[in-house]
Amino acid sequence: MSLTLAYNIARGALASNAATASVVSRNLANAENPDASRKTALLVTDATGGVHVAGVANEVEAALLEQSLKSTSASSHSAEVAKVLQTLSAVVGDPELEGSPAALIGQFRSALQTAAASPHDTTSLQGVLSSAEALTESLNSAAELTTSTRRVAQDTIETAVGDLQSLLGAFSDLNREIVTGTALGRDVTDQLDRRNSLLRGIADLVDIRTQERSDGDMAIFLANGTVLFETSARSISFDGNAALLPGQPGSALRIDGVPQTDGESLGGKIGGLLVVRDELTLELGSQLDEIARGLIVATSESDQSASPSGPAQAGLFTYPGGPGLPASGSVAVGLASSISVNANANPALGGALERIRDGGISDPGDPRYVYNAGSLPGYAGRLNELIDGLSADQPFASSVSVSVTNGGVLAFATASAGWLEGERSTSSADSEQKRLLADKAAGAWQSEAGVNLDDELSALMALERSYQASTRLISAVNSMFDALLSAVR
Amino acid sequence: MTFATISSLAMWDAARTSMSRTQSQLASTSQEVSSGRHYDVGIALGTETARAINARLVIEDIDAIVAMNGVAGERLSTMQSSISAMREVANNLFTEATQAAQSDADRQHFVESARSMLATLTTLLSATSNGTYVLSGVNNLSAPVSDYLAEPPSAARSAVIAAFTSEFGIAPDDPAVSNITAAGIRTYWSGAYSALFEDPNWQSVFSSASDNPTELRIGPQEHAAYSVSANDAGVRKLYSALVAVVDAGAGEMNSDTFAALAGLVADTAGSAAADLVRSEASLGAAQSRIANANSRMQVNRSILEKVVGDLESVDQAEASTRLNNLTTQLQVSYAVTARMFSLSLLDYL
Repeated sequence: MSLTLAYNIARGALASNAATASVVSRNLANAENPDASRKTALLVTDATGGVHVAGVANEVEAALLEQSLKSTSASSHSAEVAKVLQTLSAVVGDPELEGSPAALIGQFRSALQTAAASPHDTTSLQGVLSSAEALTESLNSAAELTTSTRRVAQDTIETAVGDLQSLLGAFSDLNREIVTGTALGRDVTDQLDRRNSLLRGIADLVDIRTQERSDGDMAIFLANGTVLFETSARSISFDGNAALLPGQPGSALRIDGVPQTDGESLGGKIGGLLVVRDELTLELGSQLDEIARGLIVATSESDQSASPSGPAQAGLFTYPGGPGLPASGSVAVGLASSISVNANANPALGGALERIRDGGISDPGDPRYVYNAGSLPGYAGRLNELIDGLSADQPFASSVSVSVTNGGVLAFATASAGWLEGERSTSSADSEQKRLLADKAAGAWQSEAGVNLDDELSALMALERSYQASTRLISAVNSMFDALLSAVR
Repeated sequence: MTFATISSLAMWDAARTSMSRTQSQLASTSQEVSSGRHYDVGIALGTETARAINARLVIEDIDAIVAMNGVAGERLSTMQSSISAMREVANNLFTEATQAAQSDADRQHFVESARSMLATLTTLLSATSNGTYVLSGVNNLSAPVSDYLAEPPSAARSAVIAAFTSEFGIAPDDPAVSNITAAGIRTYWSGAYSALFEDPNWQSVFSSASDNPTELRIGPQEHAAYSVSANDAGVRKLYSALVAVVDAGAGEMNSDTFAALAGLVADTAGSAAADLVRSEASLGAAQSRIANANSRMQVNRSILEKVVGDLESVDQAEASTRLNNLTTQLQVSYAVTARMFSLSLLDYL
């Protein structure tokens, strides 16, 4: 044991002190960075009893990170669905405002009721025509809303896929740096932090599972097992410009060659958007088409002659395929966007209002479909029949989620509004809960891995003290040398 | 030695996120307190929204039906008062004809009186409500009968005179009418004359009213129909009795024949009054069905109003308590946040 050794130990202490202080200052600087983890200098006592910094480690609890990633993707998945349902719920609106297709059918019925009480009055027939037009316009615009929501979802998926690709590119670079850095024994903690932050970004887009190897390498899998990243990023293809055919799922998203059609299991924002594009909007669209078909059937005209031979024909409400009725029991795709009020009943388009009362809208040239042969002004039979038709039982396609056994198109439209609000209510509660979970998981990771300012400050004070002690040691050794040298002199 | 530390960011974030959540709840709750309805009815009700919409639909339907029952009720009342006035006319005619059958003294007066009754009947038959002729059935934009006594003679009057002329070979104002016997006038009455007032003559010559029933939807699932019109038996009989006095040669008849004619008129007027009572009864039945349907719908409506209220409203007391709690909670988290941020080792170094 020599004084030189004591001197060297003190010098080493100063050096490790400085290294530790730099780690503390890095921590302090990153206190507000949610992605940063707390770094600690690893101090090692060497053979001579001195101390040096062997490396820097960060505190990442892998399980907490995994939990946080999972809950992030669940939260963004349900948030995406809830957001879109919020948009779609404009179709129904607040029941008090009475803007849903069901409420408009109700207003149409009230207009018919008014007309039935004074069938001679063309003003009341005009009222029927206007409320019928309001009804078709509302169905047209609801159909347009579902189509545009689909289109927006398609575009957003394209953007999100682009984001995913660039995130994976950045991930790939960082991963390589970490693997080489770890092999060379460099401090890679900052790169690890950045890689974790990229992981969070990826988990926001799709539900992922990670696997870390001993050399610092990381592989990413989708929750359904498809490889997303393994040494290099896997190919992701999506055609954002592909045509969206009404009633059919849009173009497929392929990851590593595997088509991802199940948005629910894909998870994340992209999964949520796939659910929106290929399930929710299609379902709502089919329901609107069924409401449109129900209206056409409910207001159809039948052969009134003594021995009826003609088929029922589309009356007040018609569509480009009229006057034949759309096939029963299956969804007529696109009907809600093409349903219109028959021009034969609209004086502005060359029709006659009286046909609403008298019948013969489907084909004014065919007397078989006229209900009120003498055009008697007080005849309310057909108007009453129209009112009853709105709530008369009729079959609806079994492929839609809404089913009504009786009550006709009015009950179907009401049930459809209930379905939409039910979905919205569930998804909004779900998204709220998932967001809380994600906040909690992120918070748990944060509080475990993040920087505590007070802790770092007290560490700084300890460092200050040990720095003072080391310098005192150096000056003590120095004065000992002085004493020794003056004794020798 | 390591300590389990919590990151400062997590600590501050916790306070911040809880504050923003409380604030957004405060906004929705304060709206619930002021409006008394759920902040977002769709979210609060979920699939139950269908029930709320359905209840509102039925309420709207009931409102429309009740309003239109008002229109129908007004029409029925007009018909009722018009028919009841006709019954008065029939009774008066019966009285006067009975007297005329007994004494020939006031023959001229009787004929004049019948002419004015005929004018009254025409007015009564042309009663209107809501711009329509109530006694025209479903052909309600045309008056049921035209003015019988108009100049030049109406088609109806010409037909009556032609029937008389073809029966007796002379016009009703011919002095030779005095040769017609009581038996002759009875034959005419029960034969050619009565046929004029039977279908299809009645509808082609006198009346443009339609027999088709007027259909009413008086309740969500309730329909009523009535077919009281100028074609009712009572109206026809009264009309035929009055026309007979005017245009069956009453002015020139001998006393016996006149007595026979007055007797026939009295019989027909009496029978017309009885038939008119029947029409009144059928109108009254329709009126009372409407009244019953209305009161049933009122009951139903108030139940549905309650359903809508129960579904869409929030408990005001509960909501305002919630508002108070949230306010307190927010104040607490402000206080806690302020203290947390003031807690820093830096201040003590």
